[in-house]
Amino acid sequence: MSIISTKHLKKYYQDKSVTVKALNDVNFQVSEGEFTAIVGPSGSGKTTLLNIIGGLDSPTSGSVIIDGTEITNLSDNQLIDYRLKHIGFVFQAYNLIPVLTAKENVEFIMLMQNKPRDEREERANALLEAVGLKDQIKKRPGEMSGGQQQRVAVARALASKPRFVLADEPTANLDSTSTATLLDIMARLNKEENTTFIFSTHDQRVIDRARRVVTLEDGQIISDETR
Amino acid sequence: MNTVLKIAWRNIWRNKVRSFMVAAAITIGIWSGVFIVSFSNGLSNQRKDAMLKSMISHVQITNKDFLDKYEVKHLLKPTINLDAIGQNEHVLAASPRIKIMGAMASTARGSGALQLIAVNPELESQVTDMHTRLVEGEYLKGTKSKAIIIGQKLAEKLKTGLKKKVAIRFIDHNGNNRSESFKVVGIFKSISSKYDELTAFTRIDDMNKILGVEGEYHEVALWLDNLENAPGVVSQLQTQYPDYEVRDWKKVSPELGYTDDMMGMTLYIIIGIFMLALAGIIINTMLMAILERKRELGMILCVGMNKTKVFTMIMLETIMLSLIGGITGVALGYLTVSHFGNVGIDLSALEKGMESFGMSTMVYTEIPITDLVKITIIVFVVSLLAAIIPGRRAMKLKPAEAVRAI
Repeated sequence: MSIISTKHLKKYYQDKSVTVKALNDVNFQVSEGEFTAIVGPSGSGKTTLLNIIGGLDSPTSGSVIIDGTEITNLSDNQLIDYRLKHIGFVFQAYNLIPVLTAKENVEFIMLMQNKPRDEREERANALLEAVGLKDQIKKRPGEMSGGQQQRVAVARALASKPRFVLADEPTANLDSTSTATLLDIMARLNKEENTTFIFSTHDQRVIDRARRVVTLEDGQIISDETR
Repeated sequence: MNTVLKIAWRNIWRNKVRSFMVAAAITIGIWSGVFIVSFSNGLSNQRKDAMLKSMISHVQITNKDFLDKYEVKHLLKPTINLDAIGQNEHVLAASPRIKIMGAMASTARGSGALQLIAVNPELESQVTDMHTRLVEGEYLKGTKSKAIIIGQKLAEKLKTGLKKKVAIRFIDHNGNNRSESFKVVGIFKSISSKYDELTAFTRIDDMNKILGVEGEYHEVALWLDNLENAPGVVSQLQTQYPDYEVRDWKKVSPELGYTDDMMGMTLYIIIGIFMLALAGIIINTMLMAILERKRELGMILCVGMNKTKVFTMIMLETIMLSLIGGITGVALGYLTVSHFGNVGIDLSALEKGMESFGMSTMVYTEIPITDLVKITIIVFVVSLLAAIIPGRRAMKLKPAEAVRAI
């Protein structure tokens, strides 16, 4: 059963007198537990598609249905609540809060959800252990390597037990060792906890590990390969 | 809320140098403001107190016609009962005065215009402190002839001194030109060199004899238990003596009253200017901080922190930063004002200029605690208002764009 479904999704931008078709009639479904990479050249619409699925941008037309809810009809506040409860985000530049420790960064989402302290601490510890950072919980982002920061970001994305994780170029700033470690962790979480991951990526190492690869070009899906 | 507060507090210290510079700028601004206000207060209040004590007193009862024309003939008739006035609960002392305005003093070596004030030395000493301001001689005592004390400046102008004679010409109550000779028994120096140049005192008994009147005078000067009671006393006495003009010190010396009122406004004007600068610093700093943290703010908006919390976080950062600087500034200001309130600031290098304005060269800074509380509240309110602009800027960030900002 698909947890994400887009129908005739279009996103057009007006750039001076030219209409840019960032997404042009994209029909796309993601089922629970998928490990999907959305690939394509720069400007193909990968990030736009992720933004719209993540409720960070609105389409020009078409619909985005997540777990049966049409999210394009939601208000700004409903979308914020929706993102908080249902989506985990991993960004290319990690985007951790530099003044908080690794553990506090992971707890941050749960604090927004008003989870009790015990539950927050237990889950933050468990997630940081799962990403191999049990001994780094008191460190601030500035004291960690890029790979470690991105692992904290993955732990943070999973803190709210989201329905799926959207990862935008998560390995773009990482060396090969860190990339391999991160992919191992995400693959394990996908397999063991059935967490759904959707990546936008250029990185062949990510593409190689994905079980489904959707290729976009000029705002359209030109191939959808399941391995 | 705790998380927002914690992040806001830590955010302040992520760029320690900048936060320190901003807090220091606010501290210096507020400290300077407090000091300038307290210095102005000290200057103004000392001038006011000195003028009240040496010249004006708290309340004056005067013949209405005398106030119009300043002619000697307009004496207070029937004579006001000084004992009855003294029974007013707020009146500590009452002193009658005869005032000869537009007189001309002359000696063999000089001349000058003056006002000659005839007083009862004993009663006048309870109302003004001129008896303490003598630099030579005694206060209208120790001689049988017509005694006079004159200002130091006038003595210089007339090129005269103690025990010398001064001839004073004036128009008497009958409209006749009179010339009387007085013996200088004292030379005073008040806080105003202008006053010293234009004023002389003699005994009311001597003047009574010169004018041939008994127990009549132009005005009665009153000293009260508290300056604040002046309006109430004026109202009571005006009802009691409807034929006379009863004026408090502000009416007697509008310039002094105006200066006093202006000082109250000065606090707000000076603080207002500093607050504008403060608001500018705060807005500029916080907008810069938001620009630097655009990606981070984008992230927290992406993952689900609502805009109200983002706005609150920026507001808290701004207010905390302002209050650190503001409270430090007020505290430093208080310490400085307390110190110079005790030891004073010696401005004797500016003596001549200050004396011509009736100001003492030793200034004791003073500021009411209520004004310090007001300043602290104003700092809080200004930082609150100034925080709105960066707060709104943070709220308006588009998460998808902000999160990728370089």
